[in-house]
Amino acid sequence: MFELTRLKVHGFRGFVDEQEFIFDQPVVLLCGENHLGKSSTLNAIEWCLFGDSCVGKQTGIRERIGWEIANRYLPAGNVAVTVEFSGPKGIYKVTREQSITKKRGVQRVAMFLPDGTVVHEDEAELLLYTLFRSSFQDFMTTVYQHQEAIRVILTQEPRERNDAIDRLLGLSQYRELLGGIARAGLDTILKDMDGKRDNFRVRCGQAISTLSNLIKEEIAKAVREGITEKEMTEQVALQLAKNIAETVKSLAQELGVVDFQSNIPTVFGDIAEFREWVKNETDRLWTQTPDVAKQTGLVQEQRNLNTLKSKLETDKVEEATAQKNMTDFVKQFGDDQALDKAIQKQQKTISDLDDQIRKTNAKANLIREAVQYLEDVAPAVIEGRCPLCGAGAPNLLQHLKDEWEKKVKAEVAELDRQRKKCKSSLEQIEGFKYKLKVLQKDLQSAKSRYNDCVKNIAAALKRKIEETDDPLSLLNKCLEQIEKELKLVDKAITEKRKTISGIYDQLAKLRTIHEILTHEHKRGIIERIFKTDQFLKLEELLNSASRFVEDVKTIKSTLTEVSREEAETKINAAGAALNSYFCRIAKHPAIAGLVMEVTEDSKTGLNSYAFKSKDGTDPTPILSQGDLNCLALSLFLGLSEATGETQRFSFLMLDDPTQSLGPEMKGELARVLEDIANRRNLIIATPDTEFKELITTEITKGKVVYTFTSWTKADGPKVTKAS
Amino acid sequence: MGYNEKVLIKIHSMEQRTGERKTLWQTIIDSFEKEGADGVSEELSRQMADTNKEFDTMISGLERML
Repeated sequence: MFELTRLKVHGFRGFVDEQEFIFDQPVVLLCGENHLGKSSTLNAIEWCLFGDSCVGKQTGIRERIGWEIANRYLPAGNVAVTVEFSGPKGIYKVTREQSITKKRGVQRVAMFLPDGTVVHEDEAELLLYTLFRSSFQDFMTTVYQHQEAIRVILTQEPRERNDAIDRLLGLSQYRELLGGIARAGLDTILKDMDGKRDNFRVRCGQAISTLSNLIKEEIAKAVREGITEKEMTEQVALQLAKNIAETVKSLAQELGVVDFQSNIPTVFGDIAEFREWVKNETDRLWTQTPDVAKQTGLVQEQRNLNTLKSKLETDKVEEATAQKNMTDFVKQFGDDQALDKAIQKQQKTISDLDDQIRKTNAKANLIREAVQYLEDVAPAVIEGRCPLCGAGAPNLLQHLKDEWEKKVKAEVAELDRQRKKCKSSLEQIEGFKYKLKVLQKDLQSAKSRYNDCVKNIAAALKRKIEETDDPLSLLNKCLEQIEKELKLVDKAITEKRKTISGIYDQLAKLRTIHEILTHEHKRGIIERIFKTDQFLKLEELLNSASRFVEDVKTIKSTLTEVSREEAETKINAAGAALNSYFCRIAKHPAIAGLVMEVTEDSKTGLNSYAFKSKDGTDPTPILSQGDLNCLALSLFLGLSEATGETQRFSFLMLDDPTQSLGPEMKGELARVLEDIANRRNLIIATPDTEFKELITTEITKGKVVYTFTSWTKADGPKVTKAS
Repeated sequence: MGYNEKVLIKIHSMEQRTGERKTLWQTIIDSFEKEGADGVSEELSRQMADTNKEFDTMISGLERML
């Protein structure tokens, strides 16, 4: 076993400078008020041994969520904890360090062994586990009595409680092994394999049924087509194939194909390929037949000539229409010359009228100037007398002016009217001229198309067409000739078509027989599938998997059995101590004694634990908080003894064990610890001065007391040591 | 006596498949000591997966006959 001998703490939680604790007596007391560093001293030991495993939700301890390792008031440096043990071969030292500033920084672990060897990091972590055989959870339930961790046993879900008690009893390896086996999910895989095999069987049955129905329908159809059931054999199918091959060969010879290679199937399995071959060869021979080739050529020529004929007729009609339009227009509006002459005439008339308008305007201006002159040189006129005769003529000048203006205006208006009329006539004649040009162009275009078509006909007929020839007649004559030739060719190939048709009929018959026999063959394969080597191998694999799963189940139930037997042994060993400790500490008047039982959980096969009063009732509903604490302490103390040889640590750590205990309970607890101190070293942290006095007086083993007197940010806990 | 020996004694007292179960238990123990409970789970899954893979190959071949 490993005995704790020394602890050095630096920068851990509330600690500042290095603080050393020497565990050189069987009982070590850490005393002082709350929040001065007692619990942190115990925590330093677990952190040194288990690192991050003591932090976070997975610990099952609420206060460990977001738990700080490094002293939050230190600006830099390292957290460093060293724990020293005295073990079977000498002194073992463990150190764990991490940076102060990094909340969850990389940790450095080193282990110093008695032979001087030092191992680091992962190797050191592995060696820690190998030496102490203790996980953090094991440590928390069998070495370190933490109030919250112990209460899990009494108050949490049954599954978690059973898990915790298994750990207390050192049976967690059984539980882990069983968990590992269960997580492999072998039953599910086997069930899946079974399901696949069953599903395959069902599908085989369905396939046989589907094929049987199909075959029945195909046979009925074949019989309707004149095929007898006796013909539905492989021999008949092969004979039929041979006949077809020979017919194809004779057709090839008839058509003059010299390099024809026949393909006669010798086994039934080749018939599918043969059917494809016959189809391709027949099609190929047909297209290569001279009469068929000639027929194809004639039909193509006939199609081309008919197209040309249709175009020629259209072009001819279009040319005649264009010519008629042209002739009608000339008849109505005149030809090019007539229209040009009319245009020139109108243009001259307009020019003459322009001259007359200019002359009339010039004459009017002259008269206006003369009147003005008269007004200037002959004032008598203004006075109303005639300048010639001197007789009175009132308004003579004004009268002359008005008369001239009226006459000139009328004359100019008449000339403008005549000019507009001529201009309009000119525009109309020019429009006719434009229309005539369009008609001339249309006629030219129609003639050009017709001529092109005639050229194409000449090329198709392979002869020259003179102006005196009628292309339509030439075409019709040629088409009649083609029609005659086509009739002759049709007659020639009718016989060959009958041969081809005969081949296709035989091929259809072969296909029907082939499909029926293929489906029967496939049904036969499926009917025999369960006797094939493959299926027998499948069954063997399934049996092998079943045996494997059965073996794993047997081992699982053996593990369960061994685990329960060991639990019973330990409970029997601890039972008396548990009962004794509880009765001594709690002194509950209604509970004469306490019994712990283990049974098998019917669902999981794991151990299931229960507490009972000696009268068979469940005691927990009538227990006070102090009683529950007594029960937790009794369970921890009783079972920590029951762990026996599996426990590697020779000490117990109790953190504030007297919570909710009355004075009498505290006295009894001190006396119980006196008994335990005979077998295990004790490290007890308590703020309870009454309990400290009780320990001092009741426990007869050597003691050392570390008193935590104060704590400051700058210096951490102030600790004094007294023996 | 550790759990290994206790389980072995029980296996030895069985009437059937003692050798196979002893080998299997040894495999479980080896995996557990190397990689813990997850190692056991993975090793058993792997062994079953080997058979399952061969089974799937065989059934795929049979499916093609349908």
